[in-house]
Formats: sequence, C-alpha cells, structure tokens
Amino acid sequence: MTYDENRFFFIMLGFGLFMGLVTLIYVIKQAFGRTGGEVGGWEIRGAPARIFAIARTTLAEGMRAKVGAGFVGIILVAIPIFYFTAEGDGTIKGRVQMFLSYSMGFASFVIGVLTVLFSCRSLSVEIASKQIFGIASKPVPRWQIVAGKWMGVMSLNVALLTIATVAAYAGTQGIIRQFKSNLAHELETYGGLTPEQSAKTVAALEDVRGIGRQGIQSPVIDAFAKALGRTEEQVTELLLRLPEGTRMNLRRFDELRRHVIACRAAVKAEIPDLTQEVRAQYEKLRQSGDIPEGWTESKLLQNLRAAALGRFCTIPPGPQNARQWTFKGPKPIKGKDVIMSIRFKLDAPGYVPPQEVRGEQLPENTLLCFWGFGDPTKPNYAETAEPYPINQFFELEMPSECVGDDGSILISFANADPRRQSVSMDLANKGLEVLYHTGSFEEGVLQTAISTLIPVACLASFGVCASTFLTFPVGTLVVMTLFIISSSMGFVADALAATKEYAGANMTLEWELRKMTVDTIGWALAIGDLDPVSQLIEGRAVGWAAIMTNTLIFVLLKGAVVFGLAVLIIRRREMAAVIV
Amino acid sequence: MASTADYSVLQCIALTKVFKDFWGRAKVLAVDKLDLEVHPGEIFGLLGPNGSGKSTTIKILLGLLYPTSGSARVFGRSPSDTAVKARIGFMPEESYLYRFLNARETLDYYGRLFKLDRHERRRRTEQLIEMVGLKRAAHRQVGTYSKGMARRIGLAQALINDPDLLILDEPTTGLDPVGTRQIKDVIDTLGSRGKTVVLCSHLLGDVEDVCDRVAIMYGGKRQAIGSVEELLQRRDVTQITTRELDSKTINAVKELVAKSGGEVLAVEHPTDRLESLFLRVVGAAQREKIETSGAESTVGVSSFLAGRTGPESGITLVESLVQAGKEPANAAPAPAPTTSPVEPSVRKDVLTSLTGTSAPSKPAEPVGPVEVKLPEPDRNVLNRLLKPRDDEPSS
Repeated sequence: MTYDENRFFFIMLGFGLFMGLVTLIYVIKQAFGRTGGEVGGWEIRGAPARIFAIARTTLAEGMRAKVGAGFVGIILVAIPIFYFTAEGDGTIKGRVQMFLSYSMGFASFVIGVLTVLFSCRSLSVEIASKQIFGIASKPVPRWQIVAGKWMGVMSLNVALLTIATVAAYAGTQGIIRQFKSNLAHELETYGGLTPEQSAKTVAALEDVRGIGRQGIQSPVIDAFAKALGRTEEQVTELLLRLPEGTRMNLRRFDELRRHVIACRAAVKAEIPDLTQEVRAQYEKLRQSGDIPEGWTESKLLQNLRAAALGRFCTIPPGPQNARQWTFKGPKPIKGKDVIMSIRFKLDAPGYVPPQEVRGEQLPENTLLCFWGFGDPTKPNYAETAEPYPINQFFELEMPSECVGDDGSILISFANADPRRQSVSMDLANKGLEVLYHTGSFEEGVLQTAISTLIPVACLASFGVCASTFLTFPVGTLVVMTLFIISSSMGFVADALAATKEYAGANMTLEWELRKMTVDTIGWALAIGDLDPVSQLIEGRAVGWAAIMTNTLIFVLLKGAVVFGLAVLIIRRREMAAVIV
Repeated sequence: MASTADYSVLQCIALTKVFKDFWGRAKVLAVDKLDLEVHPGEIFGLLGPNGSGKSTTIKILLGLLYPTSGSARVFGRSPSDTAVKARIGFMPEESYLYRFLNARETLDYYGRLFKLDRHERRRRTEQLIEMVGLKRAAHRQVGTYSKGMARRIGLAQALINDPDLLILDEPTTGLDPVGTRQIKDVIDTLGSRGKTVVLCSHLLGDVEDVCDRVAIMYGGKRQAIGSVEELLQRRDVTQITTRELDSKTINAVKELVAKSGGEVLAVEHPTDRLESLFLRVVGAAQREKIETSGAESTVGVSSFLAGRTGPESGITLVESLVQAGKEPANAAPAPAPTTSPVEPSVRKDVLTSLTGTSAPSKPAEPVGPVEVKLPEPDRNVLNRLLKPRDDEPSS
C-alpha cells in the first residue's frame, strides 16, 4: 500500500469515519440512553385527525409568523422582477426559458431554505419553549407529533410552491401575450393589415401544424396564408416587410410552442448488452498477462465497458460507418399534428473549419450529417442531410408516421462530412433522444411542481428528525449543509468522480474506497437528481413514472428511514429534560 | 369528598428522578424515593418550596419525564401510556401556548387532539372562553395576552376534555383574585363530580381552601402527608364564633371559661377576607358595565364541567358574573331552586340560582341579585364545636 503517497486521503477518510462513528453513538445514546419511553401509541384510529390538527397549527404559525410571510413576500417580489429583467438571448423563446428557469429555480431554492429553517425549528423550538407540554401531555402518540410537524412543513411548502408556480405560469402567459400584442401591432404597422386581420394572423400562430422548418418552408407561412386567405407568396412578402427581429421571433415563437410550452416524453437509444464483449476482452488480457499491476477485476471490467461504450457512441466519417439505433419507450401517438423530434449533441473535438462542397458552403464548427427516420424498407421512411452545429444541442423535427407499429423508432445516422471529422454522441445520457408530445404545458408545470416537492419532502424529514434531538441553530447548521451539498451534488459527484479517476493504477484498496465513498455519498445525499426546472425549460415531462419512482426513493425510502429515526428518538426523549 | 377506593388514581412507589449532565453524571436528585397515592375524587395538594421536586413529580406523572428508578402509575397504567392521557387535564406552571393562535383556535386545536367532534369542540370552546372571561379577547392572538389572560386560557385548555384527573401546576400564579377564585370553583366542581384534582403549589392559602389531602415535599422527599384538617388542627385552642355580643355577655363568658379552668386568649371581631372584598368590588364594576380590554371577571364553571348539558348552560356563566359581587344588604331572595339532585355545587348561592333560572322548562328570566356568601367560619372550629373533643368525656 502507498500510505505515504496518499496520506491526505487516508487522514480524511479516518476523520470522516470517526465523525460518523461519533454521530452514530450520539444518536444511539439519544435513542436508547434513558430508561423509559413512550408506551403504546401505535393505534391508527384518529391519527389523521390529530396529525392534521398539528399540521394545521404548524402551518398557521408558519404563515402568521414573519418567517412564512417573509418567504411569500420574497417570492412575490422576485418573480415580477424576473418578469421584467429576464431577456435570455433576446428572443421570445430565450426570454420565456430564462423567466421559467429563474422563477422556478429561485422558488425551489427558497422553498429548500424555508424547509430547512421551518423543519429544524418545528420541534426543537417547541421543546425549548415548553410548548410541547401542551401536546405531549395530551393523548397524542409521538409519531403523530412528528408526522404532524412534517405535514405542517410540507403544507407550507405546498402553499408557497403553489403561489410561485401560479406566478411563474402567469408570467409565462404574460410574456407570450405581450409578444402577440407586439406582433399584432407590427403586422398593422409594417404589414398594412387591419386590426381584425392582424388579430386573425396572431391567432393562427396557435394553429400551426406540421414539421417545423426554417425560411419559406416554415408551416407558420401556411397557417398565416389560411388565416388571411392569401397565397404563401403573399404571406412571405408580408413577412419580409416586418423587422428582422420580429421575423426571428416568429420562428422562435413557433419553436417555443413546439419545444418549450410543451410536455414531451424522451426516449433514449437502446444500448446493446456489452457484457460478453467486455468479458471476452478481459479474458484475452488475462491470458496474455496484460492486466496492469494492481488493477482489480471490477476496475478493469469497468474500464473495458467504458471503452466499448465509447466505441459504440463514436461514428467515424463515411457512409460505411453509418449507425442505426432503436428507440423504445411508451408508444407515442401518431398523427399529422403530432410533433416529434430528435435532440442530439454532436461531440467533436477541436475546431472544424468551413469548407465548400459542390458549390455549397459548409459553415465552421458544423458537420454534414445524414439522418434517417423509420424503417428504410417501409414507405413512411424519411431522411434528411444537412450541416448541424457541433458541441451544442440541436433539435430536428421528424414525421410521427415513421414510428413503427410496435411503438419503436428506428433512427439511422451517418457522418457524411467531407472534412473527415469523427463524431460521438453520449447515448447513455442525453446525447441523443427522441422527444414527442405527451401532454399540455400545464401538465408539465404540474409535474415540475410535484417533482420539486419530492426532494423537499425528504429534506423536511431530515429537518424534523434533527429537531428532535438538536437545538434549532445546530440542527439548521447540519441540515443546511446537507441541503447545500445535495443541491450541488452534480458538481460534487463530478469532483469526487474525478478524484476517483485520479487514483493510480496500483492503488487497489484506495480506488475501491474512493468508489465506495463516492457512490455512498452520491446515493445518500442526492436529493436534487431530478432537476425538474431544467426539464421544464426544455419542454420535457418529468413523467409520472419518474415521479412515482422518486417518491418511492426520496419519500418512502430515504424520508421514511429518517422519519423512523425521528420517531425512535422522540419516543425516548424526555420532553421536560433538564441538562444540568 | 375524598373517598377510599380500591385503586389509586395516582401512585408513586419509591419514585426517584436524577438529572444528569451532558456526560451522564448524576447532578441533581430532584425526587428521592417518593411514595404517594391519590384516590379517586380526592383533591390533593402537593406542597413544597421552590426546587422541592413538585413539578418534576408532576412531569413524571404526565410522561414528560421518565423516572430514574421506582415507578409511577396513573389510573393503574404507566404515565407514558398515550391512552391514559385522554383522561388527564394539565395546566402547566406557565401557559406555553402558540402565540399566533387566538383563544378559539387554541381551544379548538386542543379539542382536536382529544378527538372531540366538531359540535362538541365548538360547544366546549365557547363555554370555556366564556367561563375564563375571554369572550371579548377571543379573537386576539394569545401572544398579545397579559400573563393572567394567558393563564386563563391555559386553564381552559386543561379542561377541554372534561378530565377525570386535573393536574394543576402552580395554577394561581399570575392570576387576579377573581381568576384564583375561579380555579377554586373549578376544583370544587370537579371534586363534587367525583373527579380527582392534583394541585401543586407553594401558595398555601389556595391549597388550604380546596384540598382534602396534602403532601409536603422538601429536597425531593415527602416530609408530611395527610388530610388538611389533620395537619392543621390545633387541639390546644378552642374558637367560638357568635353573633355580636355586648361586653356584659363577653365578660360572663370569660368568667365561665375562667371558672372551668380555661383561659380566654382573645376576643375580637373577625375581619372580612380581602378576597371577598375584591370580588364584591369587581362584581359591582361588572354590574355597572365598565369596559375592560382584559379578561372579564367571571365566576362559575362551564356547564359541561359541572355535568350539565343542553343549550341553557351558557346563560349561567353570564349571570354568575352579576351575582358574584352583590352586596349582602341588597340581596333579594334567590328564586326557588329547581336544581336537579345531581347538580354539583360550585358556590351554592350562585349555582342554585343559576340552575334555577336556566332550567329548560323555565323561560329565561333575569336572575335577582344573590347574596355573596361571607367567608365561612373555620370548619375545624365548627367541627370541634359539633363534636366532643377527644380528651373530653362525652356528654
């Protein structure tokens, strides 16, 4: 072992283990250290009424105290400020996305802070001020006190989140209404339309159907032509008279409708089972004696799998390297009005210079790619070839008719760029997805709000648990730290993962310890994995299945374990204890 | 009032409580091998100076603390048993209430914890608010109450479940004499209904007035226990109370006493008690409808506590306010009582008239002024007058 080379790691590991042990001993001492404890109290009959009563009082206190009202005030002041200041990239789409991101993100942060403060004071302050005598001397089982406090905290969160969500939704509608009003005015001013004609034209924006395209192929022109009773050429001429910014915003608004003010499901490409291939490579290395010294089997297998996946996701240039992936998910609805798209990110290292091919200019940092949608042997197959930007996400709409009868979607891809640049897509994550509409924007907002509450419910359990045995300041410090770490878990996980990768080849034990530490911390503290706000601004549905899964993990598993610990402690705790 | 029963409402056997420091070292012996028993229907006083272990004992009996050794039983069960708490009402030494709730919300909340249905909660809440004189302040947040008003709502919350056992920890602290009188009325009423009351106080006068039995604690130990009469009786002195006597008669009595070998130590006119005077003054102000932003001075108890049911009960409280301070000289004869035999007596003069006028069969009619009872003579003396002394031959 290389203790001397990794002294810092081992010292920190030892310190962490020591602190964990001290905490564990303290909790056990609190829970079992005294004789006595609540007897019985497990009856369910009457529990909902009592829990509700405690929750109601907790909520009333929260709302009437300066804390609750203050947080409501902060949200009600902040969201209008975001409404007036959010600009994004200057387009209607960017503005809406930024407003939604700021308002919902800020609300979820504020609610997280409120949860920490409110849950940490829920029992500790009542115990310190002896208000708890009023409940504990009544026939209220202590688990119901904990449940009531948790529910009170969550009720306040729901109230606050409802206010924030309604305000964010209203703000979004306000931005859109303002855009439409401006558009109507410009259609009258520059396009020479009457107020009735401009109103009809603006209303037609909601009737745009078909695959979204740019320029004169845009379905917006078709919708306007129908609304005004004019030809597409006349409409094109009309639009050309509008300022460039307005035309750009028309396109962006159509994108907004399709890609943001929407509720879309996403499916990823199926990753083949690489186990056999990886195992074969491992055996080959083992037999040839090429396994690096000190590498464990699990580490080597993990590396081989990562390499195999990388090969699968990398598409070298040339038609001979074309790939075909199958996407399976909930069966999408097919139909002319159904909007489907692929969202992808072409990862290409370095700078790609512009190049002229057969009189066509290929812009810099783009790659000429070929996309095929559906089974090539079927008549509903469609394909397109264009230069697409690299290293940024791009959405390309596709006809919904290409979906197979079993709901699966075949997507073909070829790197046809003459500049011979290899490209990869992170298929395991969000590097390539098929998106299709599953519901309304309102449903998406609702799912976002619920998803915001799920980790908060878990956090509230931690806070209430802390308040059973810690004072308000200490409990707040502990749970706030937890909240901050878990909120930035993505960053922390990346940092920890980086340190994991940093481990040298011959540090077996250390590598395993790092992996275990990272995985444990990642699992225990990750209460913000969903990131529903990011989903919302991309017009994605969090999905009821994901909501159920996360409810199970965060509320019914992690939250319930912490809740159980809180009940265990408070059943043992002397409410009138005096530490002398 | 106290009755012997087969079982005890409260029982402590060698109850010991030691408070420890953070490191688990024993620091304070708060209760030391306390043996105690309280029987059903008894009004029991737990006396002692500050730090004698009274409150600690009560907190153990409420399951707020756990004994270090020994045992405590309430209604034959562990105090930590949640179910047993349904029969207990507890008024803590200070009113630890939710500052942002008003009186109604506070009582409604505690009523919910006792699983009272909505109708019953509302009825009891209104009656209790009226009883403790907070009707006008019922909409105000409890945090804005004076200490005395908070104590009153503290009393009300202790009574919301019509408890079989009422535990009062320093109940009269912070209360004006009217509030103090009211506490005593409540104790009397509950006692007359066979309920058990445990009163913990260092205000000896209050305890003496209402308790059947007392225990005196010091240093966590029980120093004395027994009935109030047993503990207070002075067997070496006799007191005779008569209507006013002229000096000739007094001298004759003195001579008679001297002849029989006794000695007259003092001959004097008894003075009225300050409490009675206070009640009269406040009662007069009440009759003149002088406005107050604080607690109204009510005397009497809620009908549900007195064992009455029915819509008439609310009237009795208001009426009792007027009657409380009436001068004896102006007193008109009280209406003929139609009290049912089971009607408990809070203050006999008040309650008799209350029940008489509020019976459902009679229309509500104004109740005539009722004489406020003068302080009763010392019962010990009366008993001794009525009963032959132990050391005297029976005649």
